[in-house]
Amino acid sequence: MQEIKPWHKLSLLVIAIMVLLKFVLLPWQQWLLNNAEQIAYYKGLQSKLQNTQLRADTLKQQNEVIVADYQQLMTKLLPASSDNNIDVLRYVESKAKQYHLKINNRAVGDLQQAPLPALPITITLQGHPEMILAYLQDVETGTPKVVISNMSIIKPGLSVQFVNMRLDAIVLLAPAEGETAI
Amino acid sequence: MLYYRAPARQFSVTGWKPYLLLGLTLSVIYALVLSAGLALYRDHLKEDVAQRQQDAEVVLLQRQKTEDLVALVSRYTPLLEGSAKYSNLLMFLSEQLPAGTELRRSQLNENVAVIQGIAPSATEVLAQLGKSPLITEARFDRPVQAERDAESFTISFIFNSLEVKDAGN
Repeated sequence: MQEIKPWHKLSLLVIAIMVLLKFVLLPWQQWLLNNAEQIAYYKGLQSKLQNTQLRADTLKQQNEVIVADYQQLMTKLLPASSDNNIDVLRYVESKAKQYHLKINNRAVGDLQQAPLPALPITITLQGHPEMILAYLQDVETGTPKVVISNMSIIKPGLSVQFVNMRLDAIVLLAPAEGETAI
Repeated sequence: MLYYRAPARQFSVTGWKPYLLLGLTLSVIYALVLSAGLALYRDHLKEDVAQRQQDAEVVLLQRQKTEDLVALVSRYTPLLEGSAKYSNLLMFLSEQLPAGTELRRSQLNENVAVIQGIAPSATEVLAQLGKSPLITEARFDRPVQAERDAESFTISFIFNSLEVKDAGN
């Protein structure tokens, strides 16, 4: 058997070092680089998401304000239901009765959805001018919310003490359930 | 015969191996500790980011809901703000029109009002209305006609009901 000479040992050492470089050190270095890149990526994301909690707190405050506004709004609207026509008619009739006004004509139109859910209504009333004014104030500021689009008051004769008032208005309805997921 | 026997060569052959082994061992331990530390730090960051992303999604969802609600409320707001302009107009006319004026017809569509009536002086009615900051573009729509001891008039004007509300406050 041939004797191992010193230069053989040196060659084997060089080969061992090259194998170590190729299969251990270089892959490890690559792994380190990949990890460093991933860490830099995650740190970047982390800093971007740094203010999430702050934003969540701010948003919570804003949300509380707008929910309060929404609930306040809902108190002024008629809840949407299949009996809305009857509810609206009952409302205007009860108000007319309250102010001793005679209803000459009343009609509730079809439900409109745009821009807001509402029921159009046309009503003609007859009564004393002061009562007409009180009725108008009550209807305009009361609940459910009635938005008048056209008003016409006529005094039928010089000697008469009453006036006729025609109102074209819409009664605002609450939005559909699916539209308001608080 | 004397010759120099190099002690350093003997030392280098037998003495460097433990140092090499020690160095290699320390290097391997360093590499392992570094690798483990790096991997743990990366995993920790990854979990933290995932948690923050989840929180951010909840925040985004909440923001979307808030924006939807704001949009919904703001659609109603303009209609609720101009709340009492029709009764305000009647109140305003009853206070502002000169004595002896009798309204036969009043109409308000949006902000445009038209009133018809009789008064001792139709010009005074127009002048009185023209004085008010709540009314703009007041004018006779039809010629003034004499009627018994009074004058019949038709006046149109723009009524700024929002200012009435502000003035009331």
